[in-house]
Amino acid sequence: MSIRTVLRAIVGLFVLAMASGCVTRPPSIAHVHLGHALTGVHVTPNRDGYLLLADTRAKEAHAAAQQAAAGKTLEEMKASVASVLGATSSEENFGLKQSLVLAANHVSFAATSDDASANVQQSAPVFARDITRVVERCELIALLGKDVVTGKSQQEAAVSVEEIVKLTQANLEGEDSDRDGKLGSIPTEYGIKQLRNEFDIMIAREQPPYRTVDQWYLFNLVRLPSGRWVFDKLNRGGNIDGYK
Amino acid sequence: MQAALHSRWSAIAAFSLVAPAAAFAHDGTCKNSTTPSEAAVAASKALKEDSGNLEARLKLADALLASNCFEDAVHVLEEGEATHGRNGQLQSQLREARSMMREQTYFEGLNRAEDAAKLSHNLHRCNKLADIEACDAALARQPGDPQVLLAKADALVRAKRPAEALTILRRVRELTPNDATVEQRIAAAETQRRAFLDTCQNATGESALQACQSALLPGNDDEFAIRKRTGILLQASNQPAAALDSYIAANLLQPGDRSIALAIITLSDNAGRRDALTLAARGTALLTLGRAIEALTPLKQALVLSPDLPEVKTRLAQAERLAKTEARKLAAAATAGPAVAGSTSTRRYSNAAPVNRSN
Repeated sequence: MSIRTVLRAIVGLFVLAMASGCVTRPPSIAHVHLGHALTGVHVTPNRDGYLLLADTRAKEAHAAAQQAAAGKTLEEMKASVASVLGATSSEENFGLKQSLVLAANHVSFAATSDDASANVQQSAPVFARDITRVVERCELIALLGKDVVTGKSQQEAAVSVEEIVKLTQANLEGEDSDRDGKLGSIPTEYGIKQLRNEFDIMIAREQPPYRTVDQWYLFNLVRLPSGRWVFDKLNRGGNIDGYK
Repeated sequence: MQAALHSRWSAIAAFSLVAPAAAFAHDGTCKNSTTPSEAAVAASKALKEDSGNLEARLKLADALLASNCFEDAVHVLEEGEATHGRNGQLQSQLREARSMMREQTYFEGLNRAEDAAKLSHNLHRCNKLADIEACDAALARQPGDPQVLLAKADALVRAKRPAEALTILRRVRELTPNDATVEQRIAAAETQRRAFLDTCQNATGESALQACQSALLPGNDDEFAIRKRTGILLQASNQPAAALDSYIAANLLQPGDRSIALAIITLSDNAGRRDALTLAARGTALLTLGRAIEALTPLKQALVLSPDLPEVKTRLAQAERLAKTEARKLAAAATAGPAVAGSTSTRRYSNAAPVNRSN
């Protein structure tokens, strides 16, 4: 094999690698922020994205609420409702409300990035607005849950638990407050299911298309004192008023 | 990490709790910041001199953002787009300003969610648990809301307070005259009230007293009877001050009842109360019993203490007129015979009841 043939082969392989995506450009900053909402962020349990975590917490809350409804004593009900409260309102453990608000925050961060598309800029405030009903239900669950946990009457607790079950169900699947026969047909009926759908539609509209962001980019985005977002290529591991 | 990351958001959130929407101004001021910063004033001045001065425009926007005047900053930057539309710094700052403005709306939405949840919680407790305090809290947020008023009326019926429920239901009937359920509720509450009224009139002790309270409906035809009965029950259970109050209230509704007049005179003697209302009631009671000369002193005292007390001036004028007649009769009786006059004067001019009479 001649040197020329070898060089041709090397050049051919390089071109092939380029074409197959082995050499990739870094994602846009906006897409990394969206990735924090969707795929992963390093501060959460299992490094789940905030929206994914919100979905998990909503399911945990509903399961615990159903367990509370099946409770035979006041103490059993209180224990299950405490789990509902943890899954719904905990800030330290990224409860549903916290996870969802953080997801909306990161979509808004995406919208303020220099490389944000018009689609993201327009969709971010809509998404932020549309989480409000789930947040409201979370607040109400917290108030009702407190009544149960501090209450002394099993009968009263049962009434509040019944309401909590409905609310946790609505947080998952949406509700039908306008009685049109459809769950989550308007934003004030939304649950996590509809919010996730809205998020996916926004992602699908992206040009250039959104691709799943590599973990390195997800976990190494930092904010400079100037307010600019950059990737921590020097691996400083620092906290420059940013994520790390 | 979270705190550092969201410091800007916290500032906006705190601001959104207290600040109304900003109004646009070119001079560096906005509704959210009564005193413009030095930087804003200087940049504004430079911009007025030269509207194409990009540096001054960006500085003014910066200063406005620093003062939480997001909407104003957006306007200043949007005006700059006409001449510097392709400038990257202007576009970046405009994006940031618009984002801040949207975030403000976002946090306002979250605050509204919290308020809405509190209202829903109160409605739940009012509707499902008959928590009257929660009903009141909900009504404080939605005064006059027929549904909340109905929920409170239901809660009052469940709490065995039908008279209060009826007051509310009559108000709801005015607000929603076509709601048939209101009439049904009124009928149910009235039935409950009648049962309490029966206990009030025929039973004794604490249960009768509570029944009187439940049945008492201000302005209703039976208010006088219930107040009088309450006075009797309170007096019997050795609560003279409360009994006196109840008799005074009854006497105000319907003066001229001799048994109430006697009770007021006795209880006011025993309690030693010298407030304007008690003195006026005592004077009125003495008038009822035909003791006009004695009525003069408490009525005059009541008028001194509270010149605006209703009816006192009229009662005093009536007492003065009757006292003259009474004095003439006494004088005539005195000339007719000392034995008769003596016995009459002892009774008529004493605050105490004669020994052979029970108050």
